[in-house]
Amino acid sequence: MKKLIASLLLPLVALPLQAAEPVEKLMDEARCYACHQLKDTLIGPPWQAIAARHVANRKLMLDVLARKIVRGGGGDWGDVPMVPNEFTSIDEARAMASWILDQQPKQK
Amino acid sequence: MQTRTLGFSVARTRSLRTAVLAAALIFAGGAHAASTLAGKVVDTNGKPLAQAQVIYERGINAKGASVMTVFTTADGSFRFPGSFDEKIGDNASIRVRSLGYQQIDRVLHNDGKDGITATFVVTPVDNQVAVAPASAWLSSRIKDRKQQSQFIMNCIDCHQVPASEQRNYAALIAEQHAADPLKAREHSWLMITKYMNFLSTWEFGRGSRADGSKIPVEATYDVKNGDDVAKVMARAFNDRLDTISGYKWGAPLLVNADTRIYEYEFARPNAVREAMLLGSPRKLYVADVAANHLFTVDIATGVRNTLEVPSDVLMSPHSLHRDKDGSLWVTPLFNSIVGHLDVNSTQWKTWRLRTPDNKNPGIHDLSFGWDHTLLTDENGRVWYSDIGNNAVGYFDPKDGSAAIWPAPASPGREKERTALYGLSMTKNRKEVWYSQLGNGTFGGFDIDKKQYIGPFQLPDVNAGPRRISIDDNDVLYLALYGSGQLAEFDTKTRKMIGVYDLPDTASTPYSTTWDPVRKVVWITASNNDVIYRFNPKDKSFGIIPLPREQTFLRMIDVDPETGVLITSYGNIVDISQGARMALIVDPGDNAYPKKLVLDGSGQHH
Repeated sequence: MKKLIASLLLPLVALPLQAAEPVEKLMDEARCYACHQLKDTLIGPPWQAIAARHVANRKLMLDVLARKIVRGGGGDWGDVPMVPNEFTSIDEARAMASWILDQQPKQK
Repeated sequence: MQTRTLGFSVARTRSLRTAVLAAALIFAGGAHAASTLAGKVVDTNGKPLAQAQVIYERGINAKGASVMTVFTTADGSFRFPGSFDEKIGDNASIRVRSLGYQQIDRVLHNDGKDGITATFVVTPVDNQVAVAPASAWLSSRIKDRKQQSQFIMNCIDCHQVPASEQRNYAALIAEQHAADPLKAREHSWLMITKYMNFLSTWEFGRGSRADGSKIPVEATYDVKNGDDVAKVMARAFNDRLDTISGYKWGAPLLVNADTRIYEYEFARPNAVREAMLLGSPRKLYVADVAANHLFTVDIATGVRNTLEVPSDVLMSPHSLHRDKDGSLWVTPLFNSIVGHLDVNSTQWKTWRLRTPDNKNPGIHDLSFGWDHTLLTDENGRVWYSDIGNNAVGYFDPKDGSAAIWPAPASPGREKERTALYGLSMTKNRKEVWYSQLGNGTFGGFDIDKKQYIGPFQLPDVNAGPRRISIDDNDVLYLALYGSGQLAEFDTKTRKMIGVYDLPDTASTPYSTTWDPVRKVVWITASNNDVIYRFNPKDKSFGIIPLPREQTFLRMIDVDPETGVLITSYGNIVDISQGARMALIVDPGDNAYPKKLVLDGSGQHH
């Protein structure tokens, strides 16, 4: 019986130990590249611009950007609202937001 | 050939299931009696509500269907068949859905032996937003029929419009408070068409894209008619799109106390396309165009497996065809591979077709006969519609040889959008008949003479004929996606019998299937969450409403033993919203000698 219970619990225990998906793969799967690039404006602003605007307030903006990735919204960069990404989890979105905030242009 | 259960081998799955069942008994402290579920739906004055859906959402791991739906009778009562293994308590997701009504209360009473009686109280509402299909907005906002069919042909290839996704987006745009709202809406909708073109390129590029390779994004933004589409949307969808009233189904509901809908959900990610019921005992076989496999579902127990197509390239199973012997033919989204599956042995045979002049046929449909099974010509050759080369063709399963014949031009109608789509074969096996998406044309092909018959033009160039079927008198039925109509054409006399408006012309009918026992045509509608029935005798329509929105319906099949209908919600872009389900619909008319009854305890009656 102990073996049986252990075998049932094993997948639950193992879950947190699984390696996280690389952020860029998550962003590819969420089709972020449909609207955003690193340096150039497509449909949405470039990630460097987002980082430059928000990195000083990183702790707060991690949550704000993560929620915006999941829920969408608009008004920050022009007339075109961002589409929601309802199949992206909030943890995945936080990882994406962290990666975006790391993209601020390097000082020359 | 490999059989897997979503990450586990079959042997491991069995042991895991045994373990899970044993554990469930341990933690529950022993088995409980099976639950039954019945009740009544009334309004606030106690007046019964007839033909309302009662929907029990049980979850993807339920024993049997993920969601079961029954309908109320004239006295408002309903009863789910058989019993459920699970205990049904106050947290159970059971609700009532009916156009123009809102559920305001629910009381569950347990008789002490898990016999559950549910009483639902509903009230009439003006705002039908919770139930009205996408077509309700489309038909009320774009009333000009020619503009409507053109818009449908531009926009509704992959998803409903305006489904809740677009309506939510319309609400975001409406809240922008731009200096020039119309220009801002046009700009936003144009950006969305570009975004969706990227999604489309991503999806339809799977077959030729190397792992990890990037798509040249800006090259995907070139949307033909994009500015025109954006202008139409900016004017038609110019508010929050969160209210709608006055929508009517437009034809009698065909449902009664015996009508049942069994929906089977599949975990994301996937792009469920088509479904068919095969084997003994019956299993659902479901194509996933986002991968190289079929899902199978034991319809009684709900146990899912995957069946990999043995192909070293991604073929993406798309169209499914039942053979007379109960085996399954599968055609691809991406290339020229045809697969045949013996469902009893799970043995595959595949052919990669190439014509003598080195063309790769882009197969869409194989030749359906009057009973919606594969029909070969007198030499045993399988005929197909070739969407890539705008041709009809055959292949010989004996040696894999293949040939195609490009279709003639449709006079005065542009060639660039033309794609030969649906296919049916006459009963004498001497002609195949086809539809052409994009130019409102259809025609036939004489197999012996290798000559085309026709072409025949539908009145609207954007009629958009898609999947077709043929009856036992060689009458052809064409679902006209763009114009929201059904065409009835006699292939023997080469005469059009009639072109009929569907009860909702923005419903985007995708496929027709002749039902040889009921002598009716079943029609799936992609944009309005219903299945239509057409009776050729009196040219009347009836409706079976489905229990959710975004039911982007694809091909429909009729089980030859029991007469249940099998179809699927084919939201093809794997990140789009909309349920990923195959479904079995029992119209409840007892038209076939055998009856299929499924309950929630793993029983199959």
